This record gives sequence, C-alpha cells and structure tokens, in this order.
Amino acid sequence: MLRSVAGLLRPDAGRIELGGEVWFDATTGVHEPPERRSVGVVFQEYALFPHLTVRQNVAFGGSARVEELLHRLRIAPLADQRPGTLSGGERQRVALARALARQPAVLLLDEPLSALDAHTRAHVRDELQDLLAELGLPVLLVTHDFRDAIALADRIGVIVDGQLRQLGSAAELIDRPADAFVAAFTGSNLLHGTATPLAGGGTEVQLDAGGLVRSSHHADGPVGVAVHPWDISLLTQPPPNGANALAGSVAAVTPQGERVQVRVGALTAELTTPDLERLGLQRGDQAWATFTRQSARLVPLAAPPTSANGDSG
Amino acid sequence: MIRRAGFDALLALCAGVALAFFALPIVALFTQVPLSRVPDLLGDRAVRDAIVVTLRTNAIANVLILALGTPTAYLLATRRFRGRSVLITLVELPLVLPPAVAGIALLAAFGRGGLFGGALASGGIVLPFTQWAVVLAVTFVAAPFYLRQAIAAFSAVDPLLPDAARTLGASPARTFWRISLPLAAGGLAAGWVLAFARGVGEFGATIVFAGSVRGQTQTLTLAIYDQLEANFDVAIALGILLVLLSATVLLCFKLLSTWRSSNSTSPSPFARTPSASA
Repeated sequence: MLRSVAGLLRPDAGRIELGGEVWFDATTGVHEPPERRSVGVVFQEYALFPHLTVRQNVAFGGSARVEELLHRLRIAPLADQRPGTLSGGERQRVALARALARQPAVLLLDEPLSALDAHTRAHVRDELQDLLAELGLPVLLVTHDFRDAIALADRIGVIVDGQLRQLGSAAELIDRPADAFVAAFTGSNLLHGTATPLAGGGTEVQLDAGGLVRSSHHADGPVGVAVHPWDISLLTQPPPNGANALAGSVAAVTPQGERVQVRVGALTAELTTPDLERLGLQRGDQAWATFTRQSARLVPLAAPPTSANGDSG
Repeated sequence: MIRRAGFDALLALCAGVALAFFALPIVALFTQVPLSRVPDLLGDRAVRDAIVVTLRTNAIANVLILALGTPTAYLLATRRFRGRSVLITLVELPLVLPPAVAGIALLAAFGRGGLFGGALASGGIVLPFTQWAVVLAVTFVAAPFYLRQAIAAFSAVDPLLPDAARTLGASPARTFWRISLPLAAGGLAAGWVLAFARGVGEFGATIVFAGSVRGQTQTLTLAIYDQLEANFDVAIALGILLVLLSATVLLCFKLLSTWRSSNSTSPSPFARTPSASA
C-alpha cells in the first residue's frame, strides 16, 4: 500500500489524492510517477545510497535544508561517512533526514523500527515519536508491531489480507475490537466459544475448550472472547461464585520490565512483580485466572465487511 | 592411508600435466627467439602498421560497445517486458558463434550482394575489406562479453535504491546517472576489460569480412598469420607482444574484481552491531 501511495506500484483500482491533488485515479487513468509526488519515503531497510556520504544522501532530495536536518536528527558528526559504517539507529536517522530534505507533503514510513535490534528499538521509537510530533506532517506508517502503532499513530487501521478490518484510535481498537484478529493484535487473549444471550442481560459463552464465561456484552453464536492480560487477576483458590474463573496450571512466567506475564492454561495474565511474589506462584502450580464480565469482550470470529472510507489517510 | 596417498598422487599428476600443457607453449614462445631481438623485430613496418590498425579499429569499436551497450544492458537488466529473454539470448549469440561464421554473416548483411549491401553501395558506402569492416567485426564479437557482464552488473544493483531515488524526486535519467551507473561501474569495467581483450584478439570474423590488407585491415592477430610463412621470427615477436597485452588485461580484471568485492554495494553487509550512540 505504501508503494502505491509513493507511486512505485500501480494499483488496479481506486484513487489516491492528497490535498486536492490527484495522484492516482483508476477511472481516469491518472498515475503520477514518484518523482512528481511530494512524498518522503523511509524504507524498511533504509535503502541508503552506499556510494554516497551521509551528507550527499540527505542532499539527494533537495539541498536547501541539509545542514538543518543533519543537526536536528543529530547526524551532523556523521556527515562525511558512508552508510556502511553506521549503526541501525543512525542509518534510520539518515533515511529520515533524506526523506525530509525534499520537504514532502506526506511522510511514508515502512516498518521504520523493524530493522532495529530490540535494544535500540524502544529508544528510537521514543525519538521518532518526538520527531513526528514536532514535524506536524501527515504521516503514513506501516508496522506489524502494535506498540509502534500506539506510540506513533493518531489513527490506526488494521489491514489483514488486503482488507481493512478496523480504523480508529488506539483506545478504540483496544476497547472495542471489531473482530478476533484486531483483538489478538492489540494483545488480547482470545478464547473461542459459542454465545447465548441471557434473559436478564449479558451473554453466556460456552468455551470450545471447556468452561463457562459470562460477559456483560452482547453476542450470539460462535464468538471470540477477548480479555486483555491486564484485566486478568490470578488466585490460588477458586473464586467465590459468579465470577469468571478459568483454572489452569502455570506454564510460563516472563518478566517484561516491571511487569510479568504469566501464562495460566490458555490465558496470559499480566501482573506486577510484587503481586506475583505475593501469590507465590511458580511453574506447575495450579491457579485460577479471573476477570470481570465487563472485561470479557465479545468479537466476531469472521472478518466483517470494511467500514472505513478508502485510503485517504 | 596408501589409497589416500595414491589419490593425492593422481590429482597431482593430472594437475601437473594440465599445467605443463598450458605453460609450455607460452614458455616456448618466449624462448624461440632471443628476447633481445624482440624490440627490433617489433620495429618491422608490418608490425607498426598492424599496431596502428589494431589501435584505431579497437578504439572505435570499444567506444561503440560502451556507448550503445551500456543503455542496452540497463534496459535489459531493469525492465521486464515480453520477449526480454529472447533479446538477451540474441545478445549472447555471438558468444557461441564461430568467429568465421560471424564474418560470413556480416558479409551476408553488408556485403555487396548482401541484405543492406545494395542500399549502402548506392549511397557510396562499401563496407567489406575496409577498416570499418574491422570495426564492425570486432564490435560484433566483443560486445556480448561486455553486455553479459553489464546486464549482470545492473541486475546486481538493489532495485530498492533506484526506487528510493525516484521517491526523492529524481527522474529516471538522473536515477540512472547518479545511482545505477555508479553502483554498477565495477561490473561494467570488468566486462569491458573482457570485451577489449576479445576484440584485440579477433581473427576469424575480421579475416572473412575485412580481409587482411596490410595497413588497412591487418590487425595484430592477422599479421601473425601473414608473417608465419614470410618471417616466422616476426610472428613470434607479435605473439610475445600479445601475450604481454593479455597478461596485463587479466591483471586488470583481477584487480577490478578484488576492488569491487571490497566496495560491496549490496545493503545486507551493513554492520548489525548495536551502537551505544543509537
């Protein structure tokens, strides 16, 4: 999709327009070549020109703001080096500077963080967040990592197999996932089952793997029950009646900074380390994962038809 | 153990025979005539004429090869279109064509009774047995060597790089000059070195299409053939000259190859070391 917006790929159908300028229209046959579109592209592998220095790379798109960009992205000390000697984070900054030198109307970022190792990734993500906020440019960013999306995007579109599943803010995607894929993508647990509406309101779901879950949301038929790890609490005893609780044995304990992810049966719960220590749970112990009816969201298993309005993002 | 030693001995024997086979004629060439006489022999008028003809015809031929071959190779390497593989095969054809056949073919096309010969003759242009015939013959047989390498060199350029250049506002022409050409340059040079060597050594097509007219179309290789009966020593001296030229060409090719691999243009060898300054 990014290549289509940049003009490197010609789609079969549709329309691409920015600020009134039509870049592509299948019906009228308009297809502006990339050099006539005001885009700045940062490719996943950066595609820096290996035979040019950093300064020459940045100046390739336009020489007016080169020095300013070199300083702003803190790559001025590297200006006379070749890309081959730079680290991943440095190359990314050069690629950004190069894309911005053209003073584009829109910035296209293709998985800007995926070529980085885990250590630099979080750091660069924060820097990128600051930079994008500063620039105030429209940005189209493609990523497979939801954390990147949350940190960097105002609006997120989830695309699966070429179909747009949901378009909305990060909060909307987390709270009201449109389908099972979006729920899983935002980090939710997903349990399959069959839902039956209850007379007094709410829904009861018979899980395929066994067990019963009650949800305050509404659904009927085959559903996915999506529960966020941070909505799950762990108990060493079965909870009092009425609460959702699924028993299982502790399978894996994975520290993630100050929190820890604990896999109990089919569910992954997220707790703070002190909480886990208080419970005294270890691998192989029996535990109960509980969550409220409110946090048991119900999502369709099949993909709904797309509800968004084209690709003007 | 004995079997292993026996196998090694066999390998050594085969290698010895092969190397001797290659080395002996070259050695013989340098020992047939006292080396001190060689400069004199090369002063022979026939030799000087042959050198002039070879230099002129090859210079023009190489300019043609580079000027026409480079854009052709770029087109074939970077654009996909129907019939592309047929065209590439066509361009490689002279590689496997016997040189004399190439000569006959050129004659059939440009000779007096040939395909274009009539049209050319009425325009006052007669090609066979002229220096231009030598140029055409050399170009025909040597160009595929350049084209093949050039196509490979352009294909080896990461296609993402010209894409990036275009998203930065470069026209296709500017992309070619500033990105594709410099990055393919090493491979192009290596290809050209091979084409040059092939061109200088051309015999069969030249003698059929251009004949062996001293001072006009007699190149160094044709001169060797001519001098075999008349003055064998001069032929030897010419041989020595060409061996030295070929050795120089080979050395250049090797040097270019090592220079290219140290200047690797593929993006993957970029260091993946995490840097504290990131």
